[in-house]
Amino acid sequence: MQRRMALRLLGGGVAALAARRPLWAAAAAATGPAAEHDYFVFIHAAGGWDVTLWADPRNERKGLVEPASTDNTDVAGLARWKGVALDGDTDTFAPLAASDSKLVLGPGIGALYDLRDRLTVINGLAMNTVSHPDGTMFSATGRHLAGGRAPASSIDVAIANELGADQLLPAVAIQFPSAFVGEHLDRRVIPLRVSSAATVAKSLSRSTAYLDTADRAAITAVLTDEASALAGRSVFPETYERIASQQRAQPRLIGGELEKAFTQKALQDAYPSFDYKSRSQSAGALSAAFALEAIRRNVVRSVGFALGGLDTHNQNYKQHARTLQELFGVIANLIAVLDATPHPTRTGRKLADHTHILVFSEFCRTPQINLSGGRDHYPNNSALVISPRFRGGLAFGKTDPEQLLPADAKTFADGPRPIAPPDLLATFLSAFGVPPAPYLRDGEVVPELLR
Amino acid sequence: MRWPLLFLVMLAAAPDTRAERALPDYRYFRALSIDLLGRPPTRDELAAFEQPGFDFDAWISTHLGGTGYAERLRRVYMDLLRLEVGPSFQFVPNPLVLRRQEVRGPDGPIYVYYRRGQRRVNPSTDGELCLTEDDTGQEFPNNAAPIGIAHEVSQAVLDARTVVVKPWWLYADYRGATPADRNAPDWARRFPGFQLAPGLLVEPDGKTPTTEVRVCREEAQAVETGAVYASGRTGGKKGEPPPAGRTTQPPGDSGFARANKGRAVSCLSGTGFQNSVECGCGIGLERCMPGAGFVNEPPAFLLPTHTPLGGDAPFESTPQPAGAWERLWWGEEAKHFLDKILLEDRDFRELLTSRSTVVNGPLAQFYRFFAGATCCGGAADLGYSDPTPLVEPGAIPEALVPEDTATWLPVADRGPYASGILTMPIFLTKYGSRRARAHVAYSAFLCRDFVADAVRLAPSTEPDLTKRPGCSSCHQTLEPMAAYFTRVMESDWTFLPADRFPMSHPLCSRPKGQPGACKTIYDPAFTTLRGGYASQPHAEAGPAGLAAELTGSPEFASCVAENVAQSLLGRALVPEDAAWKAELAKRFVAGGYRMRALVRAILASPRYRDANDRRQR
Amino acid sequence: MRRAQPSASRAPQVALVSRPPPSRAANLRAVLAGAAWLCAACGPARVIAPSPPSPLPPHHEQAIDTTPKQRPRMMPPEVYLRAYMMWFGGLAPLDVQARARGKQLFDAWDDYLAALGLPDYRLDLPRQTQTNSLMLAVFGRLGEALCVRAVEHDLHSPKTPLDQRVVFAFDPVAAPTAAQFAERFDVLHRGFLGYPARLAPADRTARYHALFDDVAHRHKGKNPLTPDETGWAAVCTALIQHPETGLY
Repeated sequence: MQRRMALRLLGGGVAALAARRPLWAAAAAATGPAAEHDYFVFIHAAGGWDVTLWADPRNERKGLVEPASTDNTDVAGLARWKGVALDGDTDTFAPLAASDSKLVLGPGIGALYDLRDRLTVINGLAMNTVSHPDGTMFSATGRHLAGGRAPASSIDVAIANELGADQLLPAVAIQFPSAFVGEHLDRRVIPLRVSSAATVAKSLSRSTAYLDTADRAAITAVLTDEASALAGRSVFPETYERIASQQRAQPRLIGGELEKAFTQKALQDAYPSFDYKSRSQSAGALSAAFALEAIRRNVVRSVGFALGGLDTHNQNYKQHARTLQELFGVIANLIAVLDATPHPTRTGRKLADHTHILVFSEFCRTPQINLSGGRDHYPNNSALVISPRFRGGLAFGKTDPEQLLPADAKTFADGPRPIAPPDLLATFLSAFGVPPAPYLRDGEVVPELLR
Repeated sequence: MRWPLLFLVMLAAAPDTRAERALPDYRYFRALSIDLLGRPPTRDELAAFEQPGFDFDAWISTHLGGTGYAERLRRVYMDLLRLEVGPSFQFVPNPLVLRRQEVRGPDGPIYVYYRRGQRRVNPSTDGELCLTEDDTGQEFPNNAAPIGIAHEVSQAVLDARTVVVKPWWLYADYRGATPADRNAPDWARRFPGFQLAPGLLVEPDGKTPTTEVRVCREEAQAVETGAVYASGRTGGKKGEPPPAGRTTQPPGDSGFARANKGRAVSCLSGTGFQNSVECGCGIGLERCMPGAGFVNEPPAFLLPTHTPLGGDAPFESTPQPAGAWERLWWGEEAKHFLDKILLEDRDFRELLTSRSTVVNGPLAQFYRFFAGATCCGGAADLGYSDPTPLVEPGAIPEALVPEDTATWLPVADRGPYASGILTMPIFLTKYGSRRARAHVAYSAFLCRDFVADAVRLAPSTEPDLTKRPGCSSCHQTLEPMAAYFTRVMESDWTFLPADRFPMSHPLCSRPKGQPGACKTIYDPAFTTLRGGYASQPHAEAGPAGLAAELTGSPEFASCVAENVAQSLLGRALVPEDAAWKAELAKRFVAGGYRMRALVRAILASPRYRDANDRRQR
Repeated sequence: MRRAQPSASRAPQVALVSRPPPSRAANLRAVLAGAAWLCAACGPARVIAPSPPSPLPPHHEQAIDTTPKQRPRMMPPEVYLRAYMMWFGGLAPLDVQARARGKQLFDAWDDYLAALGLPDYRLDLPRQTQTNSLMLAVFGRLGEALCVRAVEHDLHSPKTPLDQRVVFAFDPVAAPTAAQFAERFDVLHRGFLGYPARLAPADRTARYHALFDDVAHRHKGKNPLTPDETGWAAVCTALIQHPETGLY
């Protein structure tokens, strides 16, 4: 198993040769126009979400399925919960099915339901795992963990590598599972990993009492020269070249507008519509505000962050629907601000037309309720894309009615099968003119998802 | 100005006794310092290195056994096992946490400590605070501010319902007849790391130091065994409002209480707490944790949020609840246990097989008094109310008081079920399910993984995952490994001993009237203990059986060599390293599975010494 | 002779150890053998006594280093933090935080730890093993705080004995010459990079001296540090952030 894995890794590594425009572009189905003026937001709904509450709504007892009900869910405060009888005194929910939409969703979707014509829901994602770290990495990279490590780069890094290496902060990851793997990616897109959005500002601030901007510029010049000199002397210069490049970025980062703009207070003041005191998503709200500000200033290409609190194995499942509602509320707010914000470099355009959001979780939760009153992990999943390049108001893929397992979505090149994370990631890359092959060992573009 | 100049002149004139070292030597020495001391070399160490007699081998030998070396190796395994749990794991069983409410006493506001769910004979207060709305003018709902207008509680009522105690968190000598060693500034030196949340140190006025606490009488009881109490109540119906003056329904009698009325029950178990009015918090309230408030997780201690350099060098401390206190020390137990193996250069297999451990004051308190609080749930219906101890009580060092956060003492034998980290609370809670426990051990110690790259999961009613299509490829291996944890409850450490829990229980084969444990502890699909269907022998062998399987596997030594070599080299091993890795593994085994020889072989190898390309083109 | 094997990390360009060209003696033997064969084929058979072969000329053996190569490793964040405490005089982290604060030099450790690449086992976030621009910004902030405080402790208080100086274990001179600077720079270079400055690339000392002069000149007449002290703070800041400090 080890040697096979090693060989696969080698093969994957070679396949990831990413000169920025790889030679085998013809072999990959790059369909969309390039997107150098576009921005990308990747959201990890951490913990594993109950898809029967939103994307793949179930309100009947059938097979293994025990639907959300007043027995197991705290329905107070659920704006989209409309009770219908399940049995006896117990109510379940009425699915949301508007006449103007083919989408049928569950009450967890919350405020995002108002934007249903812009949502692309993918159901029946075959996960083949119920491990948090493995499911997370599979969703983000299209590959399972190998030896505990990610064998491929994550989607945000792939996008940044292709479309954003020149940005000041090409990829920022706020508790997002970014992975930078491979020898031939542009080192500038190594993701900036921080634990919270507020850390960014604190890292960039400098005292004015001792050294000044000119001093720091001189220091940066020395460090850049040193790194470049070391690179020139090394058989493997990449490490030093990368450091030289990162040093060159410092003057643009430090002590200027960015430091003031990214403080917690500045972000909250700039984007007051987010609920920064939310029960479950206060940190996520700040991350979303950071993403907006960084995009508005055109300093990023990819921002990834986490919205969490979904791993509800016991009585805490009662709050799961509310947590989902708050999670999707953050996203709805994000889109509302994007709708109202002009594009930083394209006159007359709004950011919403050039920002693409992908939301995933590591797996879904069991259709049955466990002995502790919660739901455990399950090898099925759903995902959400909000992008002008994806067909809105669409649900693609399905699960079987009794066990919520992935069912055949279509006939792929290897025959009929369910859709899987690599297919979604391949489609996502392809939508922006990025050939998937250098980044994804597996996966097939699904044109049905695209406009 | 003369003296510095003179100094420099003398320096210039002094003969240079430093040996002429080449740059690769300096780089090598620096790498060794980083890996064996945990930091770059100091000026003095560099000066010693430059002396002609400096011997790399001797230097390595000296430092292969220091705390920096242990930390370096510990980091390898902590990166693999990640033995810390975050706030999503809540350890706040009601038997343990003393919350408090503020009431108006004759002399002003006072705190009254109590446990949620504490049994009392008085039906007005059974399961709630021992003071009623009539006594105080207020109702005290769980996790919410009091309702109503407070009036003075009479001294007579206070004397009848409460007592004053000198608790363990304020007095290090709380077990004495007249405790006097009270929390004082010198505790920072005597008990580094032990800091109470500020709210626990002062009275409601915010100024008067707290010298004793008032607690409900039932909570102050100290007997170790109580009698099972059956009130005759059946408990309220769902949706029915509680009786006047109560915020919850009074507890009804459990099936266990009805079946065992009057029998003795351990006050160290959750079952005792739920079913006896005589079970309290013990002497000095030592069986309970304080909380400065009435919310679900009231603050209790100032704890470090980050300890990358160890628990004695915190980077930030914030008030945190009692559950965080336990989580912190569970993690520290695993680290100290691993450090002991490394520092004493013991057989590395003991990480999985040893029955010993190391404990400090908080862990001693946990093992003595807290570990049983999660037992026994539905198991009580099968007669299990006195949990098998996680660590034999007699093995826990008596000298440790709960404040002894910095004193670590060995426990030679935790008991017959113990097996390295596999039976430590941190491992059993971090990896809550049997399969998760087996999976992480398989990955970390055999360097293998369960990768379901491309399988089809078709709907199936086959309960046996070793046979189920799509699942069997991984579960054929995983299920038998998970079976080793059959007799350890999931998300917990409660053992299910064979004399109480046969693999198949006769009560569970009854067509009707099966106790609830037949679904919670036994698996109806297989009529065996949950997790045991895949391998009964493994279930009986327990975690020690898994330890034996892993350490007896030929891949064990190779995996250790691989993990350690990869970490020290800073890269994955490649096919060219295969022969070297095999040699390292062989040497590791021949050396009695001791780590020092393995690490020395790596550090002295050209791969480590010449690995980093620094040479000029 | 051993043939170098390609490493997994890059496409190798490995030269084979060349076989030596056939010697003249060998060529001659081949010709003679061929001639003998021809003669044997044409004329009456006669016995040719075999002659022992001449010894082959010695090959030049070239040892090839087949140890797989790798790039420099990033110093683990735990090691960086311990080194940082050491350079701060062996203080505990919270004491460092208290001392470093003031005049916006430092906030709290909690703000920086994740950006330094520490793993979070509670959240299963792995450690970072490569730098990024934000990490370098954090190194810069921490480095500046350390160096300013070290200057204040070691040089700004002239009575700090030499053996108690944490970083600047030398006596400064005003406007040092190249040689004077080099001697003092060597102390810092050893402290942060772990080897003497004389073994560094030849232009390094000069580059740092130029930085010192530039900063000192710019800070003439300014407070709170003297121009030379500010110059040393800048040199220290530039050394603690040097790639060879954070890599090994």
